[in-house]
Amino acid sequence: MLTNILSGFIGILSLKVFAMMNLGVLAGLIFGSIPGLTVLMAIVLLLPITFGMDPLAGMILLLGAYCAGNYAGSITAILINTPGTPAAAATLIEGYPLTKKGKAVKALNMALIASVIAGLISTVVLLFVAPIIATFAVKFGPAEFFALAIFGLSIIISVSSKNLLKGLVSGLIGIYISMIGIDPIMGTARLSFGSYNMMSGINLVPALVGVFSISELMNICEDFWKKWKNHEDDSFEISNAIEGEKLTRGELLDCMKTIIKSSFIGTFIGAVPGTGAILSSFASYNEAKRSSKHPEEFGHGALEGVAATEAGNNGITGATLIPMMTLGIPGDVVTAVMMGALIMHGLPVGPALFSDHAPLTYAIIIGLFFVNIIMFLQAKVYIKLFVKIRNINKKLFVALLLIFCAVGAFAVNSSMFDVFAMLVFGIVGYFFLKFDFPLVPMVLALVLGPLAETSFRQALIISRGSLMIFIQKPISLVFLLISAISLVISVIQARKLQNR
Amino acid sequence: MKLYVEKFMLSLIILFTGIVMHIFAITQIQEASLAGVSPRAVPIMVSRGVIIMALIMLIQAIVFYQKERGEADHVRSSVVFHRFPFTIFLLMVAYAVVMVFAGYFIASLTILPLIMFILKERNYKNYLILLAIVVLVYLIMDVVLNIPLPKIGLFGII
Repeated sequence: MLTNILSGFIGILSLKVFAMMNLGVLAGLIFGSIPGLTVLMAIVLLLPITFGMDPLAGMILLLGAYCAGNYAGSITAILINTPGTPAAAATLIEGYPLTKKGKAVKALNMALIASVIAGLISTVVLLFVAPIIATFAVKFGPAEFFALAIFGLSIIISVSSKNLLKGLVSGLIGIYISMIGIDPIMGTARLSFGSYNMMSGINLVPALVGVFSISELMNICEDFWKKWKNHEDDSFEISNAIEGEKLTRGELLDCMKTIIKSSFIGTFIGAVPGTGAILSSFASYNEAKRSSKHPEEFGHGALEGVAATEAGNNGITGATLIPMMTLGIPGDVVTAVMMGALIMHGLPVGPALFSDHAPLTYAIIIGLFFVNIIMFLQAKVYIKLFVKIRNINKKLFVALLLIFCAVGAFAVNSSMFDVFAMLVFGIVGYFFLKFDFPLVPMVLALVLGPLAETSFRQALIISRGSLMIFIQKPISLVFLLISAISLVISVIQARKLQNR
Repeated sequence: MKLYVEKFMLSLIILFTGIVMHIFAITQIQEASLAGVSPRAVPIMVSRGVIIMALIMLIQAIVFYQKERGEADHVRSSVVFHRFPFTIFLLMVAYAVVMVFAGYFIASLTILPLIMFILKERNYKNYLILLAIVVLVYLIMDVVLNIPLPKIGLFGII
């Protein structure tokens, strides 16, 4: 293995590879940070460029976009309460309150460092223990997926510590909305009211943009109204700490345990095909809150929360490649496209990739290390430019954010239906905020609802209607037990916080 | 609004939502069953969950009123609605509607400046920046990324 690693290291030492790495990272940063533009879009657009390249340069280009895109969603989540990618929805729980406190730079740097560390850890796992994890990951069937989804949904309790009932209502409404569309098992239309647009279901991007951004826009307008009423100056208050407070070494060291733990959570979840970054970021957040010395800070701008979600989010970058490279099973849509790129370059996927093309395979993995380092360097500059967003005129900001929200929602399916859906979610989000309903449970349920329902029904079909399947399968049982324990701990913690 | 009134109203609204969700789950999903689980099962379960939560909230509201009898009349809700955010929301809806009928350019160059004007923006430079960004977004989406934004027939460009 050492020879392969060394040959891989030598393989990437080329100017062309480094140029592609930089180009990929830049594309990922841009696409990831603009709501509506997805990492998948970046990869698909870059894919044709790779055809004329050697496989290594091509794969590095795509991996650069993948890693940076996964991270960059956090930038807008932290700065303007608009997640650039769905997975960044977890980051804004703590990130945006930090910005409101004037600690945007601190949050952005923490997100970047956590992402880079998680990316590196994930790559180490891919390099050394990929085959072992892959064999475990493919044991996931419907029962296991259901248990995993329940584990994810149990986080609703943790993020609703202020008001459990309201959190549950928000989560249930989210699950219900996620059922709109074609039934995945029977193929019948559900809750579509005869509309073809509704039959394809509610897309996550318009929902997220609506719930978080449109409601925030309405809040900003309300602030203007209050200022005019009180005859106060309505010009934008440039947060003095945006340029000031930087992340200290002590803060970073305090969060290091969380970052490492979340990286492993992300790596584990990412290795299971069909799970994704959203689940890993929320699971990491939940675990960070559960084990934190200061759980009361969560929800009000806890740096530890930002570190956890971003490490969980980027921990999947190397891990999703594990089933793809070792077994030929893509972990998500993005890795499926990357698998396509490998195949188009005439490379086999699965075990033969490691045995027949070892130098190239290891060069790609080593390249992933450097991608994370380049991402760190580029993002440092990018953040400085992006922070200026907060400094623009607030009235212009309202108009610009509305353009980006509308165009972002439209771009997903090139459909105006998504723009209207975004507005509906926006007004719902505004009412939820007004009445103190947490928004995160709804988002979490929108993501995990379909996975939970489909796998639940598939498992019951396999077991001919017996619920025992969820207990008989060891992995499923373990996840259900963890969910139950997590639920109990979260309820106790919520009680303690309320009493305080 | 008094706090207990808000609590009552909120639980009743959620109860109503739960009932509507339940009715939709029955009327808008065909009954079919495979291994005992029909496509209706989870939506019905969820709507029942919402109804139960609403009932618990209603009980909580009643308990709150009973407990704080006398005092409850003086506790006011912190929730206040202003008309202004809703006016802006209506303009956002207008933006989407105009986009459907008149395309991205006309919608962005009429409704967005109007929003800025209502927000009392009087610096013409910010309107010029808005114009530049509208064009830039069009170029990026339509030309670079090949994601055509809504247009009307005029020369096929706006």
